[in-house]
Amino acid sequence: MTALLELSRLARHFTTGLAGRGPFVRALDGVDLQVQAGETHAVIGESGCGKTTMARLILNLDRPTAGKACFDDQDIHALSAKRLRWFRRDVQAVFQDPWASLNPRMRVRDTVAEALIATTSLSRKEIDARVARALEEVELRPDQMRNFPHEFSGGQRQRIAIASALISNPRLIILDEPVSALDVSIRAQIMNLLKDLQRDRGMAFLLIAHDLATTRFLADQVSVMYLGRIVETGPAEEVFATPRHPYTRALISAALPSDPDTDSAEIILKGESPSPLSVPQGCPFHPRCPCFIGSICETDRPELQSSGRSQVSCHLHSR
Amino acid sequence: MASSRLPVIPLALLVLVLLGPALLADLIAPHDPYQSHLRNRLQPPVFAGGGWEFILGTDRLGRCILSRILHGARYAVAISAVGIVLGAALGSALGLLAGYARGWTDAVVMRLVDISFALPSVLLALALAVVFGPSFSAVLAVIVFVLWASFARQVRGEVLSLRERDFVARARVAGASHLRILSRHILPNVANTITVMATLQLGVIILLEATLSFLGIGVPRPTPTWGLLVADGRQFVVSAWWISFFPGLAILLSVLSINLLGDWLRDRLDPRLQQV
Amino acid sequence: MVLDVSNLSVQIRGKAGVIHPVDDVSFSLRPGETLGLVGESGSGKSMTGLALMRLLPQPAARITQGRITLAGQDILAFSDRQMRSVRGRDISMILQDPQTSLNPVWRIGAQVIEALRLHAPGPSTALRVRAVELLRWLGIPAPEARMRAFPHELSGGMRQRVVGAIALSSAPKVLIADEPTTALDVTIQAQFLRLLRDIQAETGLSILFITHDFGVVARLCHRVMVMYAGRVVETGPVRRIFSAPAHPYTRALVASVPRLDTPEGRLPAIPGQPPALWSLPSGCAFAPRCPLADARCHLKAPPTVVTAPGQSAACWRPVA
Repeated sequence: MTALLELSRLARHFTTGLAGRGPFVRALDGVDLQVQAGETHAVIGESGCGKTTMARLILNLDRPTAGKACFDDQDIHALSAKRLRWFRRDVQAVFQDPWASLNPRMRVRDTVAEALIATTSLSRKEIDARVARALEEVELRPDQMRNFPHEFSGGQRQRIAIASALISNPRLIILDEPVSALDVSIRAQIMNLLKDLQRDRGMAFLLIAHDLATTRFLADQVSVMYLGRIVETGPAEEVFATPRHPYTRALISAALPSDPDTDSAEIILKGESPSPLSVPQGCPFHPRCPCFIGSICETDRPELQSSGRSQVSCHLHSR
Repeated sequence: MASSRLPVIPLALLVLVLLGPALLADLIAPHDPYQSHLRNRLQPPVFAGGGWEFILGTDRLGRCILSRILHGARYAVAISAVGIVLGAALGSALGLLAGYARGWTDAVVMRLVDISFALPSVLLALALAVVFGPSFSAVLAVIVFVLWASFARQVRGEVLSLRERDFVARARVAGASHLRILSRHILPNVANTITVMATLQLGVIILLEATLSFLGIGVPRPTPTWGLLVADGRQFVVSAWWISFFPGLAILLSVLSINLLGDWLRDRLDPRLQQV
Repeated sequence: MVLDVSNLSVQIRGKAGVIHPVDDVSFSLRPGETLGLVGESGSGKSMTGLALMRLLPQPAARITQGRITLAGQDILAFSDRQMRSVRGRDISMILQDPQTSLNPVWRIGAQVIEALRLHAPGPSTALRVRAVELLRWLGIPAPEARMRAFPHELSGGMRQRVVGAIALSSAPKVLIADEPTTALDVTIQAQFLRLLRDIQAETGLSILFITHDFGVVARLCHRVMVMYAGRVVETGPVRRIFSAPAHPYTRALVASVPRLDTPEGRLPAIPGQPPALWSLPSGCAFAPRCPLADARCHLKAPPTVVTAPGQSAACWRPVA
């Protein structure tokens, strides 16, 4: 079975400074990733790890420096105009901040209907009916389509954003930190809603997150990114139960406990993630790694290799 | 905290000095503004010893100052309204284009903006007056030239930040065309800025028009524009101060009340001040 | 008690009328203790922190009633001048965004030295030495070199450490930390929380830690106070708050947070939205979302009752 979304060696480098003569930023540095139809694949990592760059590439908001991103076996960045219209219907997104992702001067109806207006030739009436149905699906009232975003709370705004992603019946939705800007008591509502929608509609999610508990709740597959690379990938239960990469282990141990009696041996990492301007030689994680095993970590860049049901890029596991 | 109450006094002043006269000059002006009353030359205003016939006195040809000011309001409104619409439209369109397209389009527009800021407007007006002779359209051209650059720069700045906002990304993901993104997502969000700028620039235009007329490179005589009226009194500043004083006062009051209204409008429309 | 707050109320006059973001709040802070102040946006938690510093936005907000006793002194009776000398010396604050807490055009060293000079003037060389020590204490690598850096040259985690150094420069008794780790990455957050615990163990600092995150509370706090719509709904020792919360809101909130260990099924979500402060329901503010609410809850605001030793809840029907 071929994957719905397949990234191969996907890379995006930026040049900085005047006329691109400044330092070279490896925002995304050769990522392989597959998302199967109907599953939730979570990408976790800290700021600067390249997850947002990756999302922009998949959404065709940016072009890769190298490598390929294929949706349904077609190169996303080489689509014909007609194919691109299909792609826009099939792949949608929900962004982090529902205050920034809704146009404050547009009525809810037009915001939700955007994809239909842009890619189909439905009549006003048909569009209104579709918008009403989408709002009901996210548990808002259809008559609220006449209102403006500022009349809604954060949780309701995120529901509007989800409705507008649903309306074209997409097969893949990129969820970029969909709950981290919301109030605690609202997050659970939105997470349940996302889970229900996937169960009823069967679309795939690519979840981008930094919060591990959210990821654990929603994801089937998990990929951990560090400095533009994937360092570990595998089924969610496997990665969370037996993390193999030292970075994944540190990340999980740094995750905040759900109650004070949770006994976790904290691994406090040395220093901070280096900037993608100066990716270290060899394994990019070696300067902070608590399991540093010798000069091989400084010289050789580890490749992703199978280990149990996961894949890990670490010299500890490459034997 | 900014007051959100309608500024009644500036509004009343504006109606009294500028808008009312512009609309009703023919009805309320006591005399024909072009008519000379040679027997009543240099009459002082009524409270300085003059008669009731010429309330604000007369100029050296015996023309009624009050009537000339009332008719002058008409030119002030016409010139600033047309000027602001043309200047704002041209500047905003170029700013929108530069900010959205970026790249070389942006570079070209912004260099033009720099040039236009560097060129003294009076010099340009002189050049135009020399080439085409003083005329209404030459004045308009100068006004548009002075205005467009500030609109372009301001709008471009806002568009640069708006185009990176998530709702624009969302629209692109939904498949919206560039035209739709510009017209439905970006333009409505800079509309307030354009409105406020236009209001604040109105005062600048009235002053600019008056300056050009005063220098003799504006609208030609005997049209009673306020700048020309002030210029008429130049030789009589000591002996017949009222000739320059009252038109000057009209300019001062209009510009002041427009600026106060503009400040109020900015506070009203600024979403950051709408919260809480 | 190093800090004692009783019946504190804050009022804000806005376009929508008068609201009470802090309504009759009482609590105390012991030496060497970390008290977590938990709430959602609009719960009044940040406003409470600002009121303690007497840094409420002027002139819209004002303290209408209550007493704040800091190290035995009634600071609400202080003049602005007296208050300035209390700030930094006795009570200090770290805010969420280290970007805006530092002056972008001053070098780090100058900002730390300035803070030191404010409460203990001395010769520049001595201040410089103390500033370097302070930065080293806050775990900043190569502090001599960092003294010459501008804020934008540091990472978010390092900037927050500098903010911490400035806040702790004159050894305050109380530190108010308003979501200091929310903008930080997971591993950097872990480092910063560890640092705060180490500093507290060393100095006996009392911390009022304002957060929306129960994970931070679980890792750092001794006691917890939960706010909802301007009122304290529950106070108690951290273990009780997690294992036996008395207020239905606390109970629902703790249950709705996803856990790393039990991922299956649906989350028990709280229905509805937090109320707007300008249209609060007449009785208990949580009643419209509360599964246990009865007629009385909708009519009358509940009293605060003690439900267990050291634990109290403002509820008509506390879960015993």
